[in-house]
Amino acid sequence: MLQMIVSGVALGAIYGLIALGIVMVFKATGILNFAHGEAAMLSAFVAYTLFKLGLPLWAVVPLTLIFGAALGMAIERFIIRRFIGKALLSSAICTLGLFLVFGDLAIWVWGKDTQELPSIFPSAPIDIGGVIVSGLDLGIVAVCATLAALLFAFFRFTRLGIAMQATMENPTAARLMGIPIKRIYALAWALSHVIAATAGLLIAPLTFVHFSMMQHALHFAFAAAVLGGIGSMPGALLGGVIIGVTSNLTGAYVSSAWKDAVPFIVMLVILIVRPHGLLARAQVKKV
Amino acid sequence: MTQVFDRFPWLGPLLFVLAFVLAPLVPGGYVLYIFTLVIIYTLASFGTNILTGYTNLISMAGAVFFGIGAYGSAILTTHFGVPLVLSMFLAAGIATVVGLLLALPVLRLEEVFLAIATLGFVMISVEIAKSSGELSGGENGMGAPGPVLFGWELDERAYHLFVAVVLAGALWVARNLARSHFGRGFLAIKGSDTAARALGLNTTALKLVAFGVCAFYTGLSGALYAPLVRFIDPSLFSIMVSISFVSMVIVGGLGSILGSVLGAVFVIGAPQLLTYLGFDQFQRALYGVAMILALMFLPDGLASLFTRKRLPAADAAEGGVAK
Amino acid sequence: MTVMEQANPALAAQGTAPLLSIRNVRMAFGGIVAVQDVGFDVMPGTVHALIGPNGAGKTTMLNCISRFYTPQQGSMRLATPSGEVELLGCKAHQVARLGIARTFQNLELFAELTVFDNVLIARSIAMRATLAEALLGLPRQRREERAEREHVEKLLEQLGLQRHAHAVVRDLPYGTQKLVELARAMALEPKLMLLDEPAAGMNNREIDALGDTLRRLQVSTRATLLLIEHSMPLVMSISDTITVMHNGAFLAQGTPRDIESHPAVIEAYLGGGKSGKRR
Repeated sequence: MLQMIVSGVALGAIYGLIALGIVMVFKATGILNFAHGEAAMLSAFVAYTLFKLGLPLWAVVPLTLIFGAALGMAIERFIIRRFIGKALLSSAICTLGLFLVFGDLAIWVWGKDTQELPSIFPSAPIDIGGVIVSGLDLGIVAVCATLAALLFAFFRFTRLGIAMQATMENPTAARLMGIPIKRIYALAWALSHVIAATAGLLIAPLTFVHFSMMQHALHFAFAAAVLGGIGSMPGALLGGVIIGVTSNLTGAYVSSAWKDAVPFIVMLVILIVRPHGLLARAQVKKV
Repeated sequence: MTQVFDRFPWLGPLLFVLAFVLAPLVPGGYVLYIFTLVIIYTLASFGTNILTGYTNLISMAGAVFFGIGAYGSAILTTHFGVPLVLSMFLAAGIATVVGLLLALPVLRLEEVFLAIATLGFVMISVEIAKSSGELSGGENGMGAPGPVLFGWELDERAYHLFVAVVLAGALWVARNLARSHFGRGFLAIKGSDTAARALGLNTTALKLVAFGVCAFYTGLSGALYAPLVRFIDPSLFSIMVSISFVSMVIVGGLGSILGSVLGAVFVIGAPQLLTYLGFDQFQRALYGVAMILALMFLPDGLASLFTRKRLPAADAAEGGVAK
Repeated sequence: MTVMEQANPALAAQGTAPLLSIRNVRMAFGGIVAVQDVGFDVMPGTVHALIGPNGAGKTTMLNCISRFYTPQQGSMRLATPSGEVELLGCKAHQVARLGIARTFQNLELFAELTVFDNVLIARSIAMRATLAEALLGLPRQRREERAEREHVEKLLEQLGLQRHAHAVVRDLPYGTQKLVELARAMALEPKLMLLDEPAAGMNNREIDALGDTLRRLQVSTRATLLLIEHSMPLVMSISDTITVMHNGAFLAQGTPRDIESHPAVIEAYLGGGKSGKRR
């Protein structure tokens, strides 16, 4: 059972990372990014290609992250920017369109075959206090925790991070205070795509690299974002872990058919009982 | 070009009847099949337009209603011997009830939650469809009987006309709705939810109505789909189906009847064209690119190329044109 | 004694019951208290102005009354034919049905719709036809449509908007848009109209015209007006009572003449040292 919990935490951490990227972009620019999972998928494929070209893993990882950042910035600059501040419908449909385009793009470039990307972490099982944990799971949790800590430090202690938070709270006030919000938008999208690339790299050893590797995870990630509170970044991570663990336990002890229904059920319950999620505060719309 | 449909409002419906209802009867076969599909999809497009075009809500649950409609009518006619027309409306009714139950907790919240919740709904509906074994054939799907109306087996041409008649009825009802205070209420929600509430409109109830109407129309179109294709399986409950419904109204034109038709033509016709050109594996990307281009450059859809009146049913004076 | 009676003993002698009775309302957003312990009465048939420097909490107060915000504490009681109603227990859309209409500081018009449609939507609460009747185009639906459309036409004529009736609101000049928002509020046939800065963005000539319109409106419909306004000439000329708020709290209340020369009010507006500027 502990085994299930630990691997649930690891998987959940990845869902949480994806959710974090979605929430970040939603908070900063008010846009729901349906294509976030596909961006992670593309990053995983890019990593695969770089690896296939002979680059060592320690070079592949940063290059992939850079690809993520570039992709995020390009999307924001050329497509998304004109929808910021407009109704949710237009931008959401736009990201939906990107979701479709990225999917077929992957098939076009890399075909439909499943590819393998070696894990950064040794998959040998490690014994921790009597519990056998896979090295991969441990590595995933370690990376996510580190990333979370880095992000926390960024938002708390750096000027740029604080500026970004200010923009998320009140873009008009931020602009009036001299914060270059266009650059903040670009930064938010770049950062969230770096997070997506990280998620892609982490999940690749578990799901292997293929064009539909992220579709399952995306649904879990959205549920995690809602659970944690669509306005809360730490909530997204927490939500992911909770959903990861719950779904794993359900799969093991109830039935594997219900495993996939867990995020949806959790999400519905939260929306009925506490729509602003676990960690976010209830927002009052200014009239 | 733009003024044509404005100046002769009967021109559109006439062209539609000639080109989509009557003309395909001549060749029959695959061509007729495609046009029947277009009419069925137009019906779903009406429903989606009321929710997304008028009320400005995003829903990814289209596939669920379509699937319930298809499976519902197939199961009712196959296992329970319910006659065609009754089973169609029953199946659509079931889709509506399911849709309302789902939407109830979510519609009072901000729109982003509806988008996410309906996404989740589609994702689990596949699982449900695959696991209901005996009744629905589980993963392998089930056969749906061909259309039988009052004891007469309808051939492809007769069914095409039947479907067209259903569409006409549905159109009449949709127009009534659009011209009523309910239809205006939807537009009010789109224009300013705050003002709508300040004017006494129960926006949550109105959104429920919009959602229910969308579910009904989409379910009905699914119910018409089953007897046409004679075989249905859980792949109906895919996100691609939902996305194709949304792209119909985005590419065709939000909030207009012409837009619904053009959207259906796009969604059915474009993949056919792609297959003909040999690019059929890029169907998804085609929808994606079309949606993005439409949003960026043609926000009122293809319909805006033909008519300036964006919301004909909402204009107060009959036949009045905005100055 | 009510607050009003304290401020205006002559009114206490009249013994009229207030239309809207506000007591101890407190509205806070997180750590910021926008309205603290505010109370006042609005008497029926009067023009009641709510004034105060920027940031005084006036719009917040109005948003509480129309239930877009929920105050943490307090009570807002509305007198209706069937007794007193506690507004705190109502949802935003129910407020209109109780006879309270409002306009917004930043205009919340349906920009893509015509003037006619904007006002017609306001008549929805008067329509009794059910969804089924609407879907099938049954007689009652069609009858009500015709009746309400006539009502809207007459109203537009009354306000001089008929030549803009089929223009899309987005394309109209700002002053006309403000008039449309007023028309929409009037279409509700309200007992109480909440107007948030109706004169904002207007020049002196337009403000005078607005004053006339409001006075005529008040006389013909006998509605009660509660308006937030910064234009002192307008406030002084049409108000029966003025309530002054400052820094989220009640400051003073009285007739225009009382307020004009009220030392605390003057100090609040000129930002004297002791009362403290909160910019």
